Amino acid sequence: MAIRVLIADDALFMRNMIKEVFASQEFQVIGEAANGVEAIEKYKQLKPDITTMDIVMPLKSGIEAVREIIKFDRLARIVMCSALGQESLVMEAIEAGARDYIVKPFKPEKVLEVVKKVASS
Amino acid sequence: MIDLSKYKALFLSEAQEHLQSMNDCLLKMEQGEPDEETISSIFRNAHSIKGMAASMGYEPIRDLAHAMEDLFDQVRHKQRTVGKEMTELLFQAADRIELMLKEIEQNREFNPDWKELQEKIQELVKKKPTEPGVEKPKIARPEPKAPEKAGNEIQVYISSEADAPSVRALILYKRLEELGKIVAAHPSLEEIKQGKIPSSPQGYPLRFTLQSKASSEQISEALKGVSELVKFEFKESVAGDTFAPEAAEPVKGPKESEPPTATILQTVRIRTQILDDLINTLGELILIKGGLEELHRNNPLAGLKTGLDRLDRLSAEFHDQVMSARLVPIEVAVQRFPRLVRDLAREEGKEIELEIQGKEIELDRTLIEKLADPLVHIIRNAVYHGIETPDERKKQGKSVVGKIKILASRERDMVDLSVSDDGRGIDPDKVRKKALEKGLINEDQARELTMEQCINLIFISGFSTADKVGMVSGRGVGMEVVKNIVQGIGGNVILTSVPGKGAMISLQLPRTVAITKVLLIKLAQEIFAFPLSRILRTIEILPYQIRKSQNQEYYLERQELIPLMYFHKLLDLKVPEEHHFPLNSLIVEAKKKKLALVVDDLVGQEDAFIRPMGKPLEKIPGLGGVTMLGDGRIVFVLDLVGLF
Repeated sequence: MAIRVLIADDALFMRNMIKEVFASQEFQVIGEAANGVEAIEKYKQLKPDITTMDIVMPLKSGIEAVREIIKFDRLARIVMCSALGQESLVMEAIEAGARDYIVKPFKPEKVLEVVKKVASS
Repeated sequence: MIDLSKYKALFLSEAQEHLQSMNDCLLKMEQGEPDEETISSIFRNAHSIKGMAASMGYEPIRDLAHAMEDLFDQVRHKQRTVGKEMTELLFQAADRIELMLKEIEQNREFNPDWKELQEKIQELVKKKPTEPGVEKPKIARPEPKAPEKAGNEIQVYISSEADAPSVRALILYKRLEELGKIVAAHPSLEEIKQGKIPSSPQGYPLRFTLQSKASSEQISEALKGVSELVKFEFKESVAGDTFAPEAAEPVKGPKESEPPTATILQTVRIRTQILDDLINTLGELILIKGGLEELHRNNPLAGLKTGLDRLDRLSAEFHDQVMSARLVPIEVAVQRFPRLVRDLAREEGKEIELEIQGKEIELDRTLIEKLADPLVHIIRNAVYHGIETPDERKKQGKSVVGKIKILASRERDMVDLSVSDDGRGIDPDKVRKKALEKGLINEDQARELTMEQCINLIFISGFSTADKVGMVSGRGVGMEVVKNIVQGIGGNVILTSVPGKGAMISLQLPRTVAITKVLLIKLAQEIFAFPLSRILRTIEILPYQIRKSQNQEYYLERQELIPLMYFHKLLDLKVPEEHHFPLNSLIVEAKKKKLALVVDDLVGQEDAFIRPMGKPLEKIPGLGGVTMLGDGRIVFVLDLVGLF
């Protein structure tokens, strides 16, 4: 069974890049969200196996979205997308319940490694 | 707060074991006057399930098991005799709990109708037939408790290439915290949050002391789930109990007595992945040994021969040991069958007795796993199509009770597992007719078939589709699939039948297997398998990544030029006339040099049971064996060593 992925990022570019990383039979991108509010809604609706979550997004930040999603599903598997220098924000997200993080610019192998590990945990 | 989700898998497997034991005992109870041991065993099973479910927070299971426990407590104290109504109710309750375990497994909500069942049991408990109004004696046994281990010393190194080691350290901290209580950490949580992480040549070292009920297996599982770790090790300061002591013996069936305490150290639970890894490592070792022997043949070196001989003996011994570690008694596969046969027989209005012999015979665990579905199918067929109704049997002068027998026996390296019944057998004419109707054979063929050939038509693709899809396996796999599975693991299926007397399906199985991960590739319209261990990575090459020099093309990767070649060429297959980009390629290493081999397509990965080709095909260079895919296709396994 393919790992079902929800991608939350306000930049279409980033969403597309991430989508490309997941372009294999092992994954299936089942939804995309362009802001924190949409991420929460889509999560509740689609119940993905993995959610990749940008930190800085309009309406609601990725961290707030993590908090709400975890409230809804304690076992949600969320991977934060961050840039170098955002350590403290990522830590906040981890405290909120995110399972892991990946750093932009993305190295596909690394993204896949992280996501697969999180998905199988 | 401990994250209970970590215990879910263990809970599920243990609850399942208790249910299995309970089912066995209930069957025993149904068949005659139960002895005390059977009754207390059922009581214990219910009690354990209740305790585990309570600590996991699965209240419906807790409550249902509790009701069963209450009922059985009365039986145990001779306040109630066992009756038909009660047994039936208990069977239903056991089934319901099994269903709830499935619901947990699939993260579904509990179907609320369990409540009704619980109420029925409670009513029965209140209707005390022998001693009305007596207060139920309190259970003396304490709730099962999982004592904490004194502490696990865990040393972890985060890769020095980690993008954000402090975040990684925090994630690690969180994962361990889910397993128990971290009583000491270096660096501390505060230091981690401030990004103060010491570094060393091996990476960023971290040390934790974790107090936890988790087994070392669970801890290592949790650590493996964290990326960017280069190394971790841990030791337990004091050996304590695991989640439940019964866990020590995973493959044994129902337990009759109290959990063993002294034997815990003699058996450990190993993740099956480790067993698979051992096989793979061993495979590599044997390949290297082969290489060394080859080298020695070409350049004999004094003294090397003795060493190689010893290596040969040792690796053979190692092979045997690894293989025997993977053996599991057939009991694991057949233990559910008494219940299965009982339920199926009821459904069909038949009376059937199941006899199992030789369940202690051992097979590789992969085989046991793969055989589960085929066996269910065979048994189902025996019940549905083999055994006649009681009336019919009476007319035939047979005993009213039909008999199904599962018999396992071992002959050197093969195991014979047969399922026989004393039913009506397979009618060759009926099979012939059905095959004709379905257009699987034509009239001429039909006339020429011998009896034996006729009955073997049931293995042909397309024959089984009209089979009643039973509730039990729920998949309706036909005999064709059974045959494919068995042949896929290197075995064979033999069918014998005497009309009116019964039929027997005998599975001839290897005891052990060699499973290798292979990549399926397409070359000139053909599919080949290539051992995954031989591939450094797969890539897609684009035009700008190709350099040409002196008629040789190279793939440019970073600063490295890797010779580019069509795999077809090595096998004398037709090479495509021009490149179709992107070029699917495998980067392999041959004779210490990297090589980019272009293939037509990458088809997928598969666990293959590789069989030797036998004479004279084995002499063909480049072919390492054959394997059968899940769909029954046979493909060649390529062997790079022979190609250069």
